[in-house]
Amino acid sequence: MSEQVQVLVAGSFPDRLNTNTALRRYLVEGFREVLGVAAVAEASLETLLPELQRHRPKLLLCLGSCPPEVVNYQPVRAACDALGTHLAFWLHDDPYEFDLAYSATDVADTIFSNDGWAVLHYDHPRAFHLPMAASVKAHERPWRDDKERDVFFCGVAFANRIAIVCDLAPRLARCRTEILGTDWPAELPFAHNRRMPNSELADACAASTVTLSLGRNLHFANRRYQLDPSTPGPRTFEAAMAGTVQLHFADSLEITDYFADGEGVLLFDDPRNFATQLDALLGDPGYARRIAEAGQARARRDHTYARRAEVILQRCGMAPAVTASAAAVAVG
Amino acid sequence: MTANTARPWRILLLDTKRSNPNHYLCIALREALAAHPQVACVVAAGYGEAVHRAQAEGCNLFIAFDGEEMHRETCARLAAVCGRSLLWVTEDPYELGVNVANGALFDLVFSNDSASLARYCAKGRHLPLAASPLLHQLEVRADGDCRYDLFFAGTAWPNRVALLKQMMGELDGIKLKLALPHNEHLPKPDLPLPPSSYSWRTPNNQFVRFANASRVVLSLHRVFSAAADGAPMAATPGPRLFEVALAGGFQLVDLSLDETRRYFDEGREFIGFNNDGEAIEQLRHYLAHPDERIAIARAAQAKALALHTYAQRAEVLLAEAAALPERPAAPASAPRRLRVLQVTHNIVGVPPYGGVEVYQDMMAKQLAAEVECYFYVPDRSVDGSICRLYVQDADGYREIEALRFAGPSTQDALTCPERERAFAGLLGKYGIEVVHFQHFIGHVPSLPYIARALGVATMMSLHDYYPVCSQFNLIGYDGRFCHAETRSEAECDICLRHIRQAQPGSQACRRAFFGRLLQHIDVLQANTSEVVDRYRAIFPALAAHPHFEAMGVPSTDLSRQAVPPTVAKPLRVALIGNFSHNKGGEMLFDVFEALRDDPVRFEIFGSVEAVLAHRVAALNLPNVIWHGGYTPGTLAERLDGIGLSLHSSIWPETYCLALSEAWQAGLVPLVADIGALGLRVEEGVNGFKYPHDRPGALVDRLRQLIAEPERVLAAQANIHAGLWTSLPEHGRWLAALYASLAARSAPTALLAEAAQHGAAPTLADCGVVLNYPLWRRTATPIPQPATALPALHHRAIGYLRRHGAAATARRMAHELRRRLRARLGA
Repeated sequence: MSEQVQVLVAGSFPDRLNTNTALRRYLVEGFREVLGVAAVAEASLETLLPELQRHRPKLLLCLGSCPPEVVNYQPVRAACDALGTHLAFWLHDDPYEFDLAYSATDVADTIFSNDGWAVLHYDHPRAFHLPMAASVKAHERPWRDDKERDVFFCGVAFANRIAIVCDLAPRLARCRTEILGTDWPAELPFAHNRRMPNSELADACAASTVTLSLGRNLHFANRRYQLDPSTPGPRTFEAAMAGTVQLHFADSLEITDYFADGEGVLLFDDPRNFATQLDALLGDPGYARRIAEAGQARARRDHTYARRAEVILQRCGMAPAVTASAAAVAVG
Repeated sequence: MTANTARPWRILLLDTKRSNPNHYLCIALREALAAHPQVACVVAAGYGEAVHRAQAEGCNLFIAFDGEEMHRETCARLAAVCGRSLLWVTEDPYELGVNVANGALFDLVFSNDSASLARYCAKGRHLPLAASPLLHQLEVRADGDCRYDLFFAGTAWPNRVALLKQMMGELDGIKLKLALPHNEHLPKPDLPLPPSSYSWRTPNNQFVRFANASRVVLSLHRVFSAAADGAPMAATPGPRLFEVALAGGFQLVDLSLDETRRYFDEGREFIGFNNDGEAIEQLRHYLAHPDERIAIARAAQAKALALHTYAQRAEVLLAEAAALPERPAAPASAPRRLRVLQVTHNIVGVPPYGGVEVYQDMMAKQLAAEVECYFYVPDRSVDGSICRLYVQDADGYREIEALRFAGPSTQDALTCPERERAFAGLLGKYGIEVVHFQHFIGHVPSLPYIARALGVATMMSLHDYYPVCSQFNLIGYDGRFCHAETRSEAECDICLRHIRQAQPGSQACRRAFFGRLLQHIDVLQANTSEVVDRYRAIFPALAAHPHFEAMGVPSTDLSRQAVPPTVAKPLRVALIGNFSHNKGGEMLFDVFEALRDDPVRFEIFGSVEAVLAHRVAALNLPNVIWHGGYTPGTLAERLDGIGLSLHSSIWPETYCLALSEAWQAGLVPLVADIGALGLRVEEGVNGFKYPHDRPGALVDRLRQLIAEPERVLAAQANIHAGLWTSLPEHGRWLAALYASLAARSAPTALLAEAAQHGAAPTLADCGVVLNYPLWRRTATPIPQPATALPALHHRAIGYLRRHGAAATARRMAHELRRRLRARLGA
């Protein structure tokens, strides 16, 4: 037994199905930055029970989503009860999988949701909003003058994204644009259906003057309240950390809570407005650099997994003090 | 629970709409009610838990919110449980016809629309929607901080699109933010903008932020009705008027809705217009005069905060509720029998049947004077697409209804909306007060959630380990007891892959479902404390279950004086019950063979399992007598002269009725030391034991008892009625339990009327959403050994002998379909 471990960070669903295990690593690093390396351990859901018994942590944080076809948290709850461990979940697929959250709310002492609108709808006495973040180690990149692309985006071609990109296409076609991901229509000459692992995304963003920030409208289990997303996803924070300018389609203004106007992120509402801002950025690399570096500084200051770890510890009664910026994002 | 006089209200709040993108309105009301000084508690619950929680929390006021998609039966029960009931509808006049019909279930109806009020007659009240400081209050922005000139969000009705287009034409350079969701029933918006710029969605918390970040927010009304009898337009403004005001937005409002002036002062708190030209002029003016605009926004915000939040609406609701006359106590009804529905896999008389069927039959007869028992049973002669409802009367089981479903049942299913709705219909139609789940085979296990949603109390008898594993005897793929409580899910995955071609994670899914399900059943009954302990080890949350009781099941009263056992040689040993693998069949062949020349004779009272039948014939054992099956109640006299009974199960039986029957007949049991057998028999006192998985030890033990018959006689002297559960004792216990559960069930007086409208809730409506309706998803098949076909062949022959050609043909067809479906992964 390692007596030093205070926090065990685990997957909330099996790693064999989880394409986002990197997020757990980032969070482990964040906790270690706050508490020290020896105080934090990591486990997959598959190894969670023995690791829980081995480390006997004060806090177990399960990160991910909770599809009921593969998870059974009752033994985890029982083990936490026996050990006196606080059981928290950070659910990062809200609102797209909101209807499945009962698996976690049944057993959790504390719930964190990545989405500010979804969290309001939780039937749980301790549900808090906690946006995703970025990892300094994994995502921070120095500014590059030798940009390989003018505009970059990587992601699944959800219907809303296709609509936006198609409307932007006349302008995008006139600069060095690269859109990657899956399901992009063949008629977009700059789009390629090729996946890019998270480990390469930061480099790609850093090599691009502008990275598009486009929301998602594909829901897997969101029938009950048909919630629309409010909070930007992890890619927004990761791209900011990588030192790119993000042009964010303004379907929510919550992003301005995380990045002030011109602080790494510029909002656009339509193709004309997009083109104006893109022209300004491409026409003045110094301007682009100032915006990108401001965003990177903000991300480094307020949107790392270490800042999120502080909020988690405070909400779970394990930390007396939290930085002001960390507290600011913890909208309960 | 008595109400506190200072804080008298204990409120059950239900959003009637099962899929409601405007649920935030209900959340806003919940917060306002909870903050009201006269409210002790607000229980906001969905359909699955509403009745249960209203009862548990002693709620005395039921508020139904929204009105759409109402399940009338649940609401009728909630109204009866709480005593006073209010309905606040939010979609008048568009849903007026349905709302008026639903309003009959409530004491008062509050309509969002003043023009709809007359349709509700005396019980109608007008109550506009409002805003919430929690969700909507924002600082009024300085002009320079605004991001947009004009913001409009609303469905792209043609009248709205036309005005927006005109504004864009006349105010060159205006910075617009438009959200115009449209659908296939509307013409595509004719705007000089690409669709992505106006076709987007945002949640309500961001809607108010866009309003707050815009200099002007345009308010336009719709001309539309989804209901045939609805008026074309609401007279009362919707919630956005109040939300934008509280968010510090300046509103330019279409005055076709005159009632806007009732809530805000025109010219001081909002600016109105009567036509498109006026709208454009006002827009131009206020964009040019930010101070005037900001002053109006501030005044509107102050008015909204003072008069148009949910706190003020809650005040109205509670004042009206307080003014309701006391509801007269319901007249005492004449004594009658309780109506209990037995949900089970089979009934006595439909072969093959076993202990569960015998038990439920006995109890129904035992309690006939107090309980009217209905039986809900899958028809096993078909593929499970039919369930039959029987009532037990003097003539036996009388079918009163057959329910036909679109598809066959499968033991892999966790949910089936069609079956769930049909079940809810039965509960209402027959006024069921208690549901007793005997077994889920042939049913979807979601049914207890449906009973709970309707406020019908539930009980489950855990006759085996079906909730723990689809292998309900806990015999693993190696043919042995698996000690389920010590197995990891990975071990279960491997076992279930071999047995059922299940993908990894299947057991986790099933356990999570059943573990949660068991917590939602009012009473759990297991036959022994060992079963309770095993269930708690596997489902730890059951440690907190309020009523999980061990009570043995009774066996048929043999009504016979025990005859002194004969221990003369050869020693006669009875095996009571079906001769099967689970009862140690394979192992017993070795024992019979080993004792072929010893002074012992085994007499088997029960059918031989098909897969073992060929071995019986092949071995030609001179020391074994195969008596075949027996009718319950006829066994006693056939046991005369027999000294020992042998109970050789290889799984942890949960009680073992055969043991009770053996004791009652004066036989001394020799049992496998596992499960209830090991628990109930005291070694050397009232029976004997051997290690369940060691046939050699059983041979040794039998030889010892043959050699020392006085030990058998001594044990026989210690047999007494306290060793088994008596029928009268169990009957008294069950009758009392049914009565207490029926007292918990929500009143059913309004059922006959209420049940006629509104789709019954499904599992998903109860908040349990599954990505897949099945717990088992099919993995790549494991190649089967060449012996599989002969085994099937022998099973078919055995079935033919027992059930005849027609039944065998049906059974083979069913099996072929099942295997084909499994192969296809259906």
